[in-house]
Amino acid sequence: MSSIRKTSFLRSARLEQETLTFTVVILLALVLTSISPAFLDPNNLASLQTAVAPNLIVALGMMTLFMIGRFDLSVGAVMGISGIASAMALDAGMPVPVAFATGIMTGAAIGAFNGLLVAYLGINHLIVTLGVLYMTRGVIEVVMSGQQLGGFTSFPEGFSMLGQWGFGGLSGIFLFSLILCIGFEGFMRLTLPGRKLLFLGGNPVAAEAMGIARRRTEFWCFVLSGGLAALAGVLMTARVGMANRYMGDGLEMQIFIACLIGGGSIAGGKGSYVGALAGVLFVTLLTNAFNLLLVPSEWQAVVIGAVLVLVLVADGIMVLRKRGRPWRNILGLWPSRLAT
Amino acid sequence: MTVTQRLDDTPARKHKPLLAGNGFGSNILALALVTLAIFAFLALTRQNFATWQNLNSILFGVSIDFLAIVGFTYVMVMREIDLSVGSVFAFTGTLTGALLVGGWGFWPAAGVALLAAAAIGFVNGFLVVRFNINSLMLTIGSMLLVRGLSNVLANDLGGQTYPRAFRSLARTNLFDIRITIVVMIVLVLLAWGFQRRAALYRKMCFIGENVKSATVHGIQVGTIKILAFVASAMTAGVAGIFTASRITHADVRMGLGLEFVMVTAAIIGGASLYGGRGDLRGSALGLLLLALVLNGMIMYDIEPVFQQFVIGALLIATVAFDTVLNRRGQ
Repeated sequence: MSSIRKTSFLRSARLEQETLTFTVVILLALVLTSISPAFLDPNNLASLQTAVAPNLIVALGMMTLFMIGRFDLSVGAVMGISGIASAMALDAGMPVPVAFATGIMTGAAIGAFNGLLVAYLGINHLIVTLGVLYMTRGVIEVVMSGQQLGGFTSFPEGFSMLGQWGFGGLSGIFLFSLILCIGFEGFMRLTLPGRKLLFLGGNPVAAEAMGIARRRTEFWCFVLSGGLAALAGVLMTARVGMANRYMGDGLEMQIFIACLIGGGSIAGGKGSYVGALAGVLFVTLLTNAFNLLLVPSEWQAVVIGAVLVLVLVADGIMVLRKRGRPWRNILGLWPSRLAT
Repeated sequence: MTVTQRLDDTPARKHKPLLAGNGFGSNILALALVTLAIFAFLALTRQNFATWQNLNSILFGVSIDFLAIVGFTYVMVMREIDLSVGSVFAFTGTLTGALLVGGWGFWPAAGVALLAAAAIGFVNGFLVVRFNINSLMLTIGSMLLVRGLSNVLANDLGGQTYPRAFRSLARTNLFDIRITIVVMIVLVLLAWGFQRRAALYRKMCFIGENVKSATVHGIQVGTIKILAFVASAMTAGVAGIFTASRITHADVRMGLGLEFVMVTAAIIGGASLYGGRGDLRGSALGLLLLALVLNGMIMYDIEPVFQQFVIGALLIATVAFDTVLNRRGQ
């Protein structure tokens, strides 16, 4: 009687939400093109690329953590401090590769600290990374207290080239971040360790019973997240030619929202790096829209918060649906008292 | 393994009483002694410290923050958390000020602002209960949202000072001390009674210990949680009104980072991220302890920017202790 429905490609590849987000991004871009002539201006497109590139690099690390059911709110501060660290190394007369490595190592070390506390001591990851966010911002303030607001601004030619090379009209770091994204996607889809990440997030108990080292994986995911945030920070420092205390301020929430919109879930076991790209594009276009339409920055915070709440509600509804609760039970006037 | 077997396997074990003072910081006396020790240390080493003016200003600051921690502590008892307190605090204060500048009377303005705070608390609680959302995450969202609204208001005011009558509110005295200090003492005494006698507090602890079991036993988990979130937002609102009156003008930095001070203070004072306990007396002492530490840092000329680092480190340290000592179900 009933034939077996063939699963659609999008469903079998777990790309449903990613497709939705990409569609919204394209719609948003079309709307912006039609209502604001400045949107397709070469300057605006160039600044969009510069905005997407670091966010995407940071989002790759965040998405990895999302897959295993964790997240890292210290990325914005890590980005700032690693840019400053490499700038200070250059200031002290070190060669460019050493300065580059200094920045990355700073970020990876902070990531390792996060990972140690979360994975091996089992402390709530939100509290740890928030605390580290505060501590890192404090350190940045102390380090920069003798500097002017602009911070470090003079860099050798070789360092600036790291961020300012381009290829065929596209910004170099933008291309680099895209290649990185494709590489991560391949890793996640085609290799065993990549699949293990999703398995670990989907069912930690089963994954541990299967012999996946949960603590070690979590630890290295945090190191990866810190390292990628540091990479973004160093590249952006090279790109904009200055390291100051404002870099990456409030970035963590944007990345967090981007990952949620792009198909991640705070419960873990879901998500893809292509989705991270979609989410970052969405958040960047949204910010760009505010700037093009001259909306004051306070309203941006309101909208970002509202989007976060909406996404969380949607995520919550999806989780409840996955547990088999009927719609009327979730949205009805008198839901079942036996929640959880 | 069948159920009967499992029952046979486990020897009849007596559970420890839930609140028998076996957690980190749940021993009020020890906490009071530590606070006293820090106080004595500062008083002996720094002569500026033990002046009437300095102590009064510390106590005044603590008493205002204390108003905000009342609801917050009881939200934590139920294994939820409300990180939007700092923003609600700022929003309510700024809204009251804005309405007063717009020519409203004090009581209508404060009433409307508190209603707005209650609405925010209700939305938080409702979404958490209905969609089973992690309250840590949700309240970060509402924290951003409300902070944005508060900044919109503050920018509209553009640093205008509030009317004189409002400015003098925080400096109202009762029995020759600030009214908020009196309120704090009264509330601590009330909380003592509430925690010893009230069935509601027992229910809240039960919800925090085991929400499923509480539901099965017919406790109205949803209602109590929503009420606690509303209470948390409203107490934060009251504190915000007093603070707005104290700082006399709209300020975008008002209440920034307050939520983390509160998490730290509440956990020092005996609450736990894992729910099931929490003590308003302890929270008050925790706030006092933090205030003394920060004041001591100023007394020792440690850079003020370093405070952010210390608050972050204290937050991680207290939560680490909390986790290691109260680890459950692992």
